[in-house]
Amino acid sequence: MTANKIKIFIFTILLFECFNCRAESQITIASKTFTESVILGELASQITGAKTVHQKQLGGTRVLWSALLRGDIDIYPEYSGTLLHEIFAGHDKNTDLHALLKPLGIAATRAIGFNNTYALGMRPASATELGINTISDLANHPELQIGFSNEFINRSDGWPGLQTHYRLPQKKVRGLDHDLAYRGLTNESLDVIDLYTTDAEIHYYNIKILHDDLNYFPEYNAIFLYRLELEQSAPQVIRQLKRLENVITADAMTTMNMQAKLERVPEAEVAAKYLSTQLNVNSEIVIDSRWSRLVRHSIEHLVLVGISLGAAILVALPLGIAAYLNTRLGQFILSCTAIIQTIPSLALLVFMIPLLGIGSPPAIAALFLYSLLPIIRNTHTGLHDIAPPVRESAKALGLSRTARLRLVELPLATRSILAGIKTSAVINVGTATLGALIGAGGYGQPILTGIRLDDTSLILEGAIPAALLALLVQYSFDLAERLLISKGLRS
Amino acid sequence: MLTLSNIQKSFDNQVALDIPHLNITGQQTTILIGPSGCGKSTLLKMINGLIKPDQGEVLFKQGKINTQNINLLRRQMGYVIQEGGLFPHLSARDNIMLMPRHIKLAPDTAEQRLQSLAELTQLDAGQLKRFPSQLSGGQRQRVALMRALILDPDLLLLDEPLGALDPMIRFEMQSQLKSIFQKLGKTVLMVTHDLNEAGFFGDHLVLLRSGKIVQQGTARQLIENPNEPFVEQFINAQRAPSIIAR
Ligand SMILES: Nc1ncnc2c1ncn2[C@@H]1O[C@H](COP(=O)(O)OP(=O)(O)OP(=O)(O)O)[C@@H](O)[C@H]1O
Ligand SMILES: [Mg+2]
Repeated sequence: MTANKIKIFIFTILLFECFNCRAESQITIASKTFTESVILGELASQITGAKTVHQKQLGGTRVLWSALLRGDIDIYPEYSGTLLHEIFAGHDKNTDLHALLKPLGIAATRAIGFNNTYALGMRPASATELGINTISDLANHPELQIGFSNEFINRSDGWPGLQTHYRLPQKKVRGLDHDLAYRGLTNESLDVIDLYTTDAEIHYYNIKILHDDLNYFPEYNAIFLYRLELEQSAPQVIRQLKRLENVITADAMTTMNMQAKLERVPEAEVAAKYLSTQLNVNSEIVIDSRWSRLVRHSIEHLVLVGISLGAAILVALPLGIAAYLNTRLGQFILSCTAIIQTIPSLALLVFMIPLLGIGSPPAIAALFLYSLLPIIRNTHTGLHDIAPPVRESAKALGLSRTARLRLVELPLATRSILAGIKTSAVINVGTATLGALIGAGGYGQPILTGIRLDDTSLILEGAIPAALLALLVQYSFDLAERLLISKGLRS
Repeated sequence: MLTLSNIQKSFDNQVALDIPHLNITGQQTTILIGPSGCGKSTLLKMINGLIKPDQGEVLFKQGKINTQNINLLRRQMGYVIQEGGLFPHLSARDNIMLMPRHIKLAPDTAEQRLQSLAELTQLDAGQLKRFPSQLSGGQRQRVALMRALILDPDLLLLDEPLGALDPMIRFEMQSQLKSIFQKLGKTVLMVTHDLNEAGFFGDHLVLLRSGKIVQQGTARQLIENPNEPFVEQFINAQRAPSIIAR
């Protein structure tokens, strides 16, 4: 009984931990998964003061836009081009943005100053060798290896439009992470990549930018989108935010990007320095120590794993038993959960956003669904595989159905059930790192940041504890097996 | 005690049992014999409610066996299935004590019965602590017998309960069991392949072939007045080795 109480206690704490982040109605600023957006998020958060929190690298355009519409977040940096060509694709390109946003309860600041548009880049040497200066010149070289960021490939104002506009012959285009593309370019596995014009790497890798001679790329002026109601509920925050209008030049932005990405200065510090020198705003920033970050990520990760796994056990065990007791129902249950399992984990996470918003709830829901199958299947198999004479003699003794389950069948299936829970737990620990993609934090956070900043030590800061946790889970289940499984069942 | 009437049972259109009438008299031992696959185990399972007849009914103490009363009736039938059917996750002792604990029999009573049954089966405390996987085949059979006897049931269904015992223990258990059955007035329905054992225990023998009763009566009646050549064949085939042994 006491063990049960402890379990309930821990569960309650975890629940609180999970919803805590939303309980205090703070203003949430979010940023996209690239450094410039994170810096802009930091600038906004520092200039608006203590009332705001910054959810770094929360996701791509779609995730942030729908989170803003839902009110999960309140402010995020966006680009005018993205709004016109992606979010409001199909609308007249000359429509006033504010008129489109207002009915949705969204407003935008004026341009912050710089235009970070798309461009294509090559290694200067190969560009010179092939005589390529403009995007039009690419038409004569269908053999070139092209690698674009996934977002650029998919959005209408990205590659599809560019290809039509310039009649480019290249058919094979590889989709990859923007930060990996630079490395692909320098190690010559790629010849052409897409860039943002304020990217730090342009100078660092000395990349040749191809002239947009047919004026394809639209303007991508940086702006902040915010929920309209903030003008009433937090006017001072909006007033502060608007101090960034028309201030940040492309040059200043490139410099900040460079500091953050290449000199490894934390974004908060980059933003603070800019604000104090340019706008005379002094903000206090707290840069977490590695240790405190580790503790925070561990708690976040354990919350994700603990709640999703705990709930999965509570649901999957009865379902597995039901599947055993009723063959028809069992087939239905098993095929349903098998279908869930075939959905790629990232897709499942994204499916959850419209239902549950961003942060830990959708991540927990996705992890929960993922954890069901191994437990249900192993519970079912464990019970199903009990030797018929044993099952028969339990009946013959005159035990009722429930007594047979409790006294004979479940104890005999324990090994299989535990193995199922162990599989779920280990997969869960690994998959939970993806939670960082939708703002759930955890060990995925440093991994994500590490990939973005090309910082191996940061990647390891997430990867090593995640691996250790998986080992710990494995070990504790081995221990549990020794405690819970009857000696008579060990050979 | 036990009456079967108009029993029909088929597996996949193959007749497994076809018994118009069979009466098992109380307080005596009835032996089921017959070649392998003739339906002996099926008959025991049907009496225990593990298998439902396609037709006909089983009356136990004048009452019809049905799904409502089956679990209570089963507790009045000690059943040792052919494979023993011990629970591998429980020690021998816990296997035996599972039902006494489940129906909350007074611990003293249960313990007393356990002790006297252990004496009968010649199992010591150390052996009772072991798990089935740590016992020999014969020891397992004896544990299964103890488990069947612990609730002191009126009816015992024994499916080759002594098959795996060595001749010495077997001989001793035969005489002990027989005296227990007689002393306590148990009704016993036992399957055996051993005609000597059948003759030793059985007040009444029932010979089955392909699910049908060929002949029933005392061992002497079967031997002296076989009503079919098959009965003679069956008895002769069984008798040969024991003659050589003498
Ligand atoms: N669940 C089942 N499904 C299909 N056929 C079955 C089933 N149980 C028994 N049978 C068949 O019914 C017949 C009688 O089986 P049963 O187990 O009663 O034989 P038995 O007389 O106990 O034989 P043995 O002496 O070998 O134990 C056999 O032909 C067997 O194959
Ligand atoms: Mg049999």
